[in-house]
Amino acid sequence: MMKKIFASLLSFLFIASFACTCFADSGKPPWFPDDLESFEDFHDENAPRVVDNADVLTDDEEAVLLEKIRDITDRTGFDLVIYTTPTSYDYGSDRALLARDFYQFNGYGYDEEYSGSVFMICFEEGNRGWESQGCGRVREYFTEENINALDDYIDSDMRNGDYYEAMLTYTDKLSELYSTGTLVYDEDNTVFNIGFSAVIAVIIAAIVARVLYSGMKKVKTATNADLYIVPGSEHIRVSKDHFLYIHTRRELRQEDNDGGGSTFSSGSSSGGRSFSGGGRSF
Amino acid sequence: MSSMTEYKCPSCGSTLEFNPEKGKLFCEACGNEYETDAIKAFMKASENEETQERKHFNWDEYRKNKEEYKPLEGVKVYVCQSCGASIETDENTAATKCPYCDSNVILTDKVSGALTPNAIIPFKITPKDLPKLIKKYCKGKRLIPKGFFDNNKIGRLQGVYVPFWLFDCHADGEAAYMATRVVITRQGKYDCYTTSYYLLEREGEVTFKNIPVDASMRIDNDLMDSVEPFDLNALEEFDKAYLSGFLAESFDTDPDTEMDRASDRMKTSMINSLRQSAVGYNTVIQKSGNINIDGADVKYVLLPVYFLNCTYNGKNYRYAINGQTGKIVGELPISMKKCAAYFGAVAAGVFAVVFSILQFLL
Repeated sequence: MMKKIFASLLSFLFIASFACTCFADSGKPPWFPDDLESFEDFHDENAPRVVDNADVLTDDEEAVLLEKIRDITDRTGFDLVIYTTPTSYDYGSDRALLARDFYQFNGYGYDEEYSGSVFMICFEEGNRGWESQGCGRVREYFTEENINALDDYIDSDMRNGDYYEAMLTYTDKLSELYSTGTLVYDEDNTVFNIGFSAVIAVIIAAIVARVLYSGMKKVKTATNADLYIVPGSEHIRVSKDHFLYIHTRRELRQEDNDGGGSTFSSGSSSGGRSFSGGGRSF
Repeated sequence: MSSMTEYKCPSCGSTLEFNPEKGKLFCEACGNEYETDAIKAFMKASENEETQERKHFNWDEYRKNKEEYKPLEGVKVYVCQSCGASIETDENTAATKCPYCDSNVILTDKVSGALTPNAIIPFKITPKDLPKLIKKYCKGKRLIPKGFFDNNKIGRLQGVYVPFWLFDCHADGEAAYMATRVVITRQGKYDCYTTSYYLLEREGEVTFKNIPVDASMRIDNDLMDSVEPFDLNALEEFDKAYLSGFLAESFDTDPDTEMDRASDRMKTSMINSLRQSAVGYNTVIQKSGNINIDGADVKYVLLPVYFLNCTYNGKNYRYAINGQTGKIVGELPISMKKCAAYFGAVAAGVFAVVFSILQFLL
């Protein structure tokens, strides 16, 4: 009897924990305030600056990133948190709001304006993308052009799954943005340009050489006798076109989808704080 | 006892059944319906697939004429010790070099073997015209080695009357083609490709006149094909006087053999003629063809050609110059130095332009 009760209890606990997990993934995140009306902004000096919930970083990588974040904060006074999440909870495709709420409700941001930013990567199937959201004085730096440039720099690594490399580039470029005020995506295309130009040059030179060469040989076997047809002697007696059958094939049309630019927006978090930023899907 | 014919579906290869209600043949496997005439034509084309035959024509007329070819009187015959060419000319003209291989020739006492041709096209181009023609020919051909053509040598060339067979034939043929017509429509997110398949039946006839085929084994066939066309309206009755100052050769190939070359050319023209009547289709692929050639007549004529032999890097280059039109044919040698220089210059120029544009744009 005891065994049966114990087994039933275990089953109940297993089902309940599974249900809770499901609920947690599709509902509000654990850090979302129970009572939003009475939520008060706060600053948490000890909150982790790398929150790798998607588990894409090693401990050593996290340590390197933390060092870079500390360096930015020391130099600029702006906070920075890197956040990875396997789910968007109940935010759905509104990843910008998720990033803003994460930043606000976890107590990030320095000074009275809570200046700083969050770089979030969401790995939810069908909703994969990244977001940069800036708060307080960082909003001056997070213009559409700068966000686009920032995203351009990490785009390739993100799509290739090199998330750590992307985060390193992101922190470097963010630091550069804070130093210069503007960020221009300046990809070094020299190697590509040299290679591409060389290939085009060789192809065109080969075509020119071929044309010059073809003019050097004017001997070939005569294949037809068109010149010797008696004018008016060509006569088509029978010309029948028999329809046989029809075959139909359908192909999904390729839609133009450059997917290159970032989605930029200025808006508020659920707690009413103003943010600016953007991101891309991948 | 009657024999049963089994018709196969052109689309899937399954056996077709006759549907008495619709009066059509029906394929249960793929659901296609066919007109009986279309399937009969398709089966006929399938049976004849890849068969193209040529009827051997009647050479009786030619053989009778051949017996009437009379020996030329008062003609000297030279024999080349190197290539064996038999070169004829009149009693007043000396042949010191073989026009084919550039070797010395010796005079023989053989006076027979030269046969009177049916007609001749006299030379219009003189040796004096040749340097100018060669210069024009070389214009724009930038890879020729410097000084390749020796003008002194060109001015001393002797023209040769080359023996040709001229064939008159009538070609009659039929061909079947598989053709498709494709219509592309949009259906929501999809592009819909509707391909209609047709079997095309064509039958027709063409008459050819004076297809020239050189009748000398020593002369490269491709070279003589390329030196065409001659204006055959200028053919004149043969007169020994035309040989004065020029050389000539008698035929040493049989028209029966050379007819294959003429026949291949006629067959291609006939098939092209039938094919050109299949218009309005996206693709047309020949399924079968059957060309018959008959009504052949042949003439033995002499046509005017200059031959020029040049050597470069140990290789002999041979040119033929049409003695009537001045057309020059032959393979030119290539100066690798010039080739490399042009390749390098073009590549460098294109590289500079493309690289500058890319650096500016990207």
